[in-house]
Amino acid sequence: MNKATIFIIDDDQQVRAALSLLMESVGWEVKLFSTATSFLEQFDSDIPGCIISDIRMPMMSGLDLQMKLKEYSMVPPILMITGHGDVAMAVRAIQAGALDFIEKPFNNQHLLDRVHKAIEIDNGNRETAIRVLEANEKYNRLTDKEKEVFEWIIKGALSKQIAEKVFVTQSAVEARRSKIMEKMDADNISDLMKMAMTMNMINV
Amino acid sequence: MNKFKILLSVLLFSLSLTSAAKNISIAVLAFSGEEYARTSWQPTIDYLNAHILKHRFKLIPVEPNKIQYLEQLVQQQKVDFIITQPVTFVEFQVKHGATSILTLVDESKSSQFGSVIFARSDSDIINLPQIRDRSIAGANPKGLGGWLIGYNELKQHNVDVVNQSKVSFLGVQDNIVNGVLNGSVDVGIVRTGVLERLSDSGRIDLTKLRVLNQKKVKDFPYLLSTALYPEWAFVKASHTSNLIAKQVASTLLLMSPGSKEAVARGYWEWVTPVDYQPIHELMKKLRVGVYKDFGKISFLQYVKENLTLSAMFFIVLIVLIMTGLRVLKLNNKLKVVNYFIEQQNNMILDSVSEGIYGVDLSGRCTFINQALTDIMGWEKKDMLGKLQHEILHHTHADGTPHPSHQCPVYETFMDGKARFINKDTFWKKDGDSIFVEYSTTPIKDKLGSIVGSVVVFKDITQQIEHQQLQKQYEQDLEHVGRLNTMGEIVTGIAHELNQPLTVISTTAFAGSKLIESNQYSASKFLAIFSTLSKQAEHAASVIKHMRKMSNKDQSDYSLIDINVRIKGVITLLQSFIKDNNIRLMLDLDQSLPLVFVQAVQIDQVALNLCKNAIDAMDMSSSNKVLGITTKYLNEAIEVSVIDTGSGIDPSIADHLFDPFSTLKKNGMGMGLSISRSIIERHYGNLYLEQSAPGMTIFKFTLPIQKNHE
Repeated sequence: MNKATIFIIDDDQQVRAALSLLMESVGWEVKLFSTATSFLEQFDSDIPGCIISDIRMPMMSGLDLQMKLKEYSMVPPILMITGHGDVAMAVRAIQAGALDFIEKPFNNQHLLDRVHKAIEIDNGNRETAIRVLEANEKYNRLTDKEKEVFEWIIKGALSKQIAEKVFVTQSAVEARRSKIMEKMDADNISDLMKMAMTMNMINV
Repeated sequence: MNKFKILLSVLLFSLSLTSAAKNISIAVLAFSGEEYARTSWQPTIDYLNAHILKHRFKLIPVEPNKIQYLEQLVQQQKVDFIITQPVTFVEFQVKHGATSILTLVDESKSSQFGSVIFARSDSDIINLPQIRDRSIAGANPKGLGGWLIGYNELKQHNVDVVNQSKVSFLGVQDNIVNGVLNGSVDVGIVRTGVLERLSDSGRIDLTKLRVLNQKKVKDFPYLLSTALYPEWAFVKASHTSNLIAKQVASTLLLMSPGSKEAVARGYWEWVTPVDYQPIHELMKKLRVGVYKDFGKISFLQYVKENLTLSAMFFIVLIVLIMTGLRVLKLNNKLKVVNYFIEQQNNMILDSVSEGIYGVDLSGRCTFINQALTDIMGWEKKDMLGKLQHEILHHTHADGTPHPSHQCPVYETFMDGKARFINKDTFWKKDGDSIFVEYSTTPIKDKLGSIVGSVVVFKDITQQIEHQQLQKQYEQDLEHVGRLNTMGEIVTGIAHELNQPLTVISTTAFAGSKLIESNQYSASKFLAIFSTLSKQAEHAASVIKHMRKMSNKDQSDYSLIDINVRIKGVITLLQSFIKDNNIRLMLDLDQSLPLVFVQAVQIDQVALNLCKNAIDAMDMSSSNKVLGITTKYLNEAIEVSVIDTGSGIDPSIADHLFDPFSTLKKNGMGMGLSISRSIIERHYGNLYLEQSAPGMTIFKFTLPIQKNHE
């Protein structure tokens, strides 16, 4: 797993340097970009971390960058840097999915806290993504008949009820149920339910 | 051939008849009536007809009262000759150019005649002077022997009877004699020979009459009281041909003396004409007939004769009269004014709103008017005889003493030149001072030497205050304009300030974090502190600039490098330039001289033009360029601000520099108006050089020389 990295995008070299120093002082890996375009060119969605981008930039603004990143399934959380009076733009950034906006000059501790939080969220996002991936792999091992039974199980049906629905004997349902537990690598029904939720098969 | 000759001669004869054979009219003056004239003169006419076959002579008797009719006939050439007494002849001679061809000799064989002045022999009148108060009778006013000659004689004896009511004209001379004899008049005047004729015919007794002023002339046969004058004349009208006149004259001269034709009229013969000059003289003297106005200047006649000269004379006369009238009028006016001035001098002085006072050569006040007291509080007792400078003028407005030798009032009578001082300070009685403008004029006596000066002053304190207020308003307006520009760019400035602040706070915070985590190095902190101080300085410079721009009183002049000022302005606009993706192109001439200007005002102008340029490119999508160039041109610095925006709508281009004209949604419209007034105050120009979509250029100039004030 890659190390969390802070991607800093600002056209002002001085601001970039200051932010870099701040992140390094608390041990974060930092990558600096002077334009949104150069960031996009090097973007790798596998690298976890956090994007800190100035909202006002020539050529491509922070908002434009945000739109472009929608094309990717896994994107680190974005913290937007705004100046005085950029409230309208900041609101638009939040609506478009930015984690937060940080007004200049920064409340540095708050900024670090937000970066921590962002990385936590990013980690969580990435773990969830992995779990979904694993659950899907296991689910895909099931036969069609097992999948049918699986759906009834997560709806909370008992073996006897399932046997009536799928027109097999109750013992046959029990056999399929143990096969499902084995294939899905689940110790109990609760594990199975979690995986089903991960796969978005249950509306909570 | 023979036939032809006969025809020709007949023709010639008939021609000679029609052309040469004329009717010749001879007018005769009929003093004794037409009938008598016709019968007495017809034999003479018949004589002419008998001797001059070629023409036919015709008699036209004319009574003396119809003399004008005769003149008409002469003018119409209907009368060729006139037989008349001398006075009528002279009139025709003068008026119509008639000439005498013969003079009559009367039956006494004299070609001369005169008057007899007589009274009754039993009268107390013995000499002419005694006639003065007596009644006197003549034949008619123009009759020669029957009046004029006798009257002339009376005048020579200082007996002027014409103006007296005692003169009567009785026409026929016999009546005069009878009048004297029967006592109805005291004195009579008749032609010489009349008395003898009446006596010879036995009608009167000569002894009953006394001839006055009797004279004896050799060979003159009659009683006589006067000088003698020529007899009747045979007169040729001017139009009558000399040939006929010669024929007539020669024919009559050849007439035998005492012939029956002559006796019929009572004359003896015709002789060559005598000199009629005495008649002229007589008529002139008595102002008779054509000589009625002799000796008086006949105005109309003079004008007729000298038309051009008269016209000139009239013009000169009219001009003289008008000038005279004007002079008279002016003189009167002057008199009135003089009187008024003399009488009302003080009233005038007191009625004007300006303060007035006089100063003698010693600098002492000679008079003051009421307005001076009203304005200044000083009264007559305070001023008269006192040194005016020490009272009114001793100190300048700033409190420094004003020495009297610098006083314009005194300088005026030192050099005799009037002065006008447009601002000075006068001191009031209550210790306050006022601003005044005043004139000081030398007073001269009649000989032209200066005896003092008079000062007329006006309180202009309010005016000055108003001016100061006006200046204040203008400054305030400029300030408002600056603030307005500042307001427009405040977001940008905040952004600009935010950058260094952000860097400072973040770098400092990072530094403390590094210390906490014990991972710092000296070189790292060197870099940190360097960043901190640089960014703090940058922030400070932005603040400094902003404060200058928003400061109210920015009238100080200083020597500046325009390029430095423009870079400062760019600093304030950096964020706008960046955010709008504008490319900045500076072409600044590095060898420009310094200019002495109100630096902040010039900043304001540059800022305003640049901000306008940036705003003008708001809508354009690409290729946004803000260009600023400086160069040296014609003893001035020229600054151009160029943008590639949409250009200025021609409808507003003319009013671009008017206050409250704006192209911006939120603009006040004061920017260019204030900018232009600032540049003009520096003797420069601010103008729109070019405006088209894609290229708009504003320029302003700052002269090098003039701004050192």
